[in-house]
Amino acid sequence: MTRILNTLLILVIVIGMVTWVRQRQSIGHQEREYQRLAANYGVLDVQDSKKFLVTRIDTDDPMHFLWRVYYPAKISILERESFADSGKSGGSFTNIAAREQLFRIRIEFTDTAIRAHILDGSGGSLLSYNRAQSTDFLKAHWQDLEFDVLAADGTRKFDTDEVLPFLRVRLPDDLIEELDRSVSTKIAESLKREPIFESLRGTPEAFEQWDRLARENAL
Amino acid sequence: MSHFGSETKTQRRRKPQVALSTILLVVAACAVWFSIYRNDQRFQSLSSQLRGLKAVSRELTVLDPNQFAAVKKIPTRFGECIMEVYVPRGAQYEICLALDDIDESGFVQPVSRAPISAGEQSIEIRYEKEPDESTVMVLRNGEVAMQQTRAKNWEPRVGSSGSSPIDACKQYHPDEPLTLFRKRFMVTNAKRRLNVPKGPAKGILVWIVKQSSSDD
Repeated sequence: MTRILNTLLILVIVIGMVTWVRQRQSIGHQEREYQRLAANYGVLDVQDSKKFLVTRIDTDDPMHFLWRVYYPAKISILERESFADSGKSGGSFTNIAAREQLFRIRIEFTDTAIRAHILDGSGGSLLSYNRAQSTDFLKAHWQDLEFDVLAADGTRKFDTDEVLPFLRVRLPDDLIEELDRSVSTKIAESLKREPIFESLRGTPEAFEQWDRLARENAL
Repeated sequence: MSHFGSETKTQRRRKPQVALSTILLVVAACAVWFSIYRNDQRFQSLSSQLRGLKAVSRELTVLDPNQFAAVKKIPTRFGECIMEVYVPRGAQYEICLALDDIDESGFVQPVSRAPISAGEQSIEIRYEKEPDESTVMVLRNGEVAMQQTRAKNWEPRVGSSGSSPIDACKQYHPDEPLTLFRKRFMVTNAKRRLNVPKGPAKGILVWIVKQSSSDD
């Protein structure tokens, strides 16, 4: 009896070992693929499928911002970008199935304007800021501005009732005096009052709350 | 008599004994199969993460070397249109460009064409608008393969419809033309409204097709 039992157990162990070796080969191949792709596109381990998940990807270019974003299923997303007081632009998309996509903001200077290339899986847009006085000032001081970049310190998780502030570019206090000397009062006030550039994403409900709080703070 | 009877009862009450070797084998079997279970969990986790990574990386994957394969790269600038294309061996193919009489489907006589070799390559379609003219370029592996310049009045510059039908990596039949880009320009109609014309319109159409055996 013992001999039969031991023989069966040895058979189970041998089958297990063969299975284990094959598994390790598959996992080894997957892990190499994963390391290769994760080096370029970051790690996004979705533990909660009902929340946003955002990780920032390094680009080595201070004017090029890139994130990898997980959007839960069955939600509508509003997109909102703006340059100071030059008006808000945006769009929307509806996520039927959960998905990951890259979200990219690339800022560039032309002779007369600052342009923001806004690119994500649902399309892209080009936003321009053409106020000559302030454009020259911002070009000259771009490296001195303050940048709030989402997930700069690591992957962030958000509830769907939160607005995702991907990028906010602001004027630091120590540049205000020079701004007042360089541009007209009206333009200076708009750059002090509003973010120089802002990019937001969120559900309509999250934006309702966001806008209500913004109005309350303004009062 | 009673001593003899109690010895029999003792034999019947003796607990079954398991050999040490059996115990060790059971422990080893449990360890091996628990390890398999953990590996399976790791495999599932990696598979899930790889699905997301492959969706954003947009790499060209050729499963059937006898078919076209194409994937559109995620743009890094607004208006950028770059595709990775695999052209199968065994036939001569050419890439074609048309700028007029472009319908919602189908093909027309190209204004420009260039042979395209087999294998993997990058195709970029660039459209540059200057104040007085517009230039359409098709680049292959970063070099201009075709270029056409038109006067400003070629395009009404009020909008357009369409772009590349290529998206996530997919394979296509090698005997059918592979449409890489189809854009048709809007016009202002009699009621001063913008729409894309029904029927042939000016635009940009780029496709890959088998070279015909003789020139028409």
